[in-house]
Amino acid sequence: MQYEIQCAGSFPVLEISLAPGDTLVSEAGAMAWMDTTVDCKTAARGGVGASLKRGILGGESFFQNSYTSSTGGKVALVPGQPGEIRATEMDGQKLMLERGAYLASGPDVTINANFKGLKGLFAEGMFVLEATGSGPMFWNGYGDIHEVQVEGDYIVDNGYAVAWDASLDYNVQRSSKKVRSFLFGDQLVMRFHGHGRVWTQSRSPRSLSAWVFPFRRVKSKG
Amino acid sequence: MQADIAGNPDFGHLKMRLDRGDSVYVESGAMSAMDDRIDVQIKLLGGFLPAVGRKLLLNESLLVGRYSSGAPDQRLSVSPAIPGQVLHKSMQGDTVMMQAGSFLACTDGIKLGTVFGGIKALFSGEGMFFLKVTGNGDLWYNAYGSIVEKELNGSELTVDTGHIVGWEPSLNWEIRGMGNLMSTIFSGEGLVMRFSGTGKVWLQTRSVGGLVNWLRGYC
Amino acid sequence: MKTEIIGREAFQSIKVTLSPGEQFVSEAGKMVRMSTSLTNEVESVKKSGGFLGGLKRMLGGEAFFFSRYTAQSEGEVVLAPTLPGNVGFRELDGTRGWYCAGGSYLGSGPEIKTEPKWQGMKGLFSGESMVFIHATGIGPLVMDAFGTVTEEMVDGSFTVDTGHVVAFEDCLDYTISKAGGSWFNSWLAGEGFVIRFSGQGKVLVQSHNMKEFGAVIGPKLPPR
Repeated sequence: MQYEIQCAGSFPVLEISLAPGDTLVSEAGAMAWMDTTVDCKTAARGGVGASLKRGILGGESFFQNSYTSSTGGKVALVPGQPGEIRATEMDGQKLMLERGAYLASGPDVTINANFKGLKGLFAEGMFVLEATGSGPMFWNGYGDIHEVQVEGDYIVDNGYAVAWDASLDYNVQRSSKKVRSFLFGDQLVMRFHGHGRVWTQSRSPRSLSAWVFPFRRVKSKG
Repeated sequence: MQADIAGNPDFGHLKMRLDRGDSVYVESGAMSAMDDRIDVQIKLLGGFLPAVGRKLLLNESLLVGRYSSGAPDQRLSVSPAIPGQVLHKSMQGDTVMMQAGSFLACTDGIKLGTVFGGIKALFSGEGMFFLKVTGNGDLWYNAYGSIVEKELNGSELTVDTGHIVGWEPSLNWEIRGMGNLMSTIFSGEGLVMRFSGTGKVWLQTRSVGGLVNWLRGYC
Repeated sequence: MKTEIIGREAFQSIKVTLSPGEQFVSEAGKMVRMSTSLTNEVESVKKSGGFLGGLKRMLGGEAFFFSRYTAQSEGEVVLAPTLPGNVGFRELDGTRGWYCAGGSYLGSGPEIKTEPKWQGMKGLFSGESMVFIHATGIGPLVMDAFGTVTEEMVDGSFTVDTGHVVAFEDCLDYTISKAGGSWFNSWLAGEGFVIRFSGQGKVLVQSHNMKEFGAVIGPKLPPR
């Protein structure tokens, strides 16, 4: 399987060249264009239970697409949001991903979901995906991705953390102890502790969601 | 008349200067600033309204504004709603097919017609009509994201309908599901366009549908 | 204090480095990341006294929230806008203030006075009634923009769709109105709300229209 990230900049596209026998898995809806020699199958991968957990809790689509080609062919994948696409060769390490960050992976990469958040009023916790296994894993951010080397402690707003080494400890907490801060979910932060890398994205989907709120239609009652 | 594209590749927009008598068609909602001596008239593309209902057509943005200048050196700035590239094509009697949302502006000699995409197009999320652009003059169009050109030489290409900007009419096209029914509904791809034959197709690297699906998870 | 615009043009952010005791102010909710040596206190300015109601999302309707960052020891804070685009930056020298329109206020130095001024009419700049932040004093002023930012000199009069206004100098006169006259069909010109500036001064204009973007995306999302 060969890959190329084209149109580097704000709106890159991931083009994968599949050889006979290759399999690529992607989140549903990621396919932009492909040769007609590529087959796309939709399936709940890893069993219904695992997919439900991944899909509903993780915010990822329940159904994942599987691409193969008996004669070889290309498939172009894109995320929904503008921003960078990154490729990581997994080799037994564990990488944590924000729920919107997963794009695609080879057949030997496993993605699991778990939830880490604040108990109480707001279910504004972090839905986190855990990537393990071996082979290529493609992920993306909203905006540009910056790498921060954490030595000790560091705070990242939970809308901006896109990926981090599993070796880092973290807690999700309110950024300020004042009562007023409960008025917005954006004030949840991740406090990282230890040694490892955190990747941040330069825009936050939560902020965008809050901004677009008044433009949404109002649900009619009755 | 002068027209410059500024802001590419991420925030393409048009900066124009119109002289007395110049006029330009601009998609509705795209005008961002203009001098006082520019006059606007609304026009509906394709002539009469098919019986499908005015509201549907309004959502299609088949309405354009015809902006004409009554004085020298009147400024007109035009921006697409979604960031990306803005491109220019000089039309010389050729024909180009285009997704309605990709049209930004054109000069007087360009003819804009609508082509019904077929019933399946209704479910594509992109709308029922395509634009058929012919004539002589300047055409400006926009892509959400970056533009990729693919040339087909007797080959085929499957494209998610949200990623189509335009194509040459020499190509055959067909809207279809992604395979079996489950694949179509659940794969998230909805409908795709299958191109075959010889000609160029212009693709964009992001889609409104993709952006909405992503953002929906945070609402 | 050091301020640095980081990132590519399409997704700029601002990095503020503070020495012990120094402070920086931003609109609440704009913090990307920060050192643990900084504290973040949220303050609010209410439109009128009284109970705010359980607002889950603050939309500029009733109150404006600021975050104040104080360095206990040397540290940094990175702030980012909501939409893709540039960060606007001006160093104020005390001679003129700026109005930040449409939610474009991002942050400022501690010597800058920031006073929210409610505009009262909904839908002018984005989906909700909007607050102009009047920034006066001396120090850095940081703004959000959707797209690229251009500075336009006004000498006489200048009219622009409200969705494209980032900020303007307070020496300018301005009126907000629905487009009229030759802009007759306001529904063609976006929502048709425009600001007509007059006098002499600078206006920061963004290449893309927040209202148009919201109007395309909003209706496709689940109803609220």
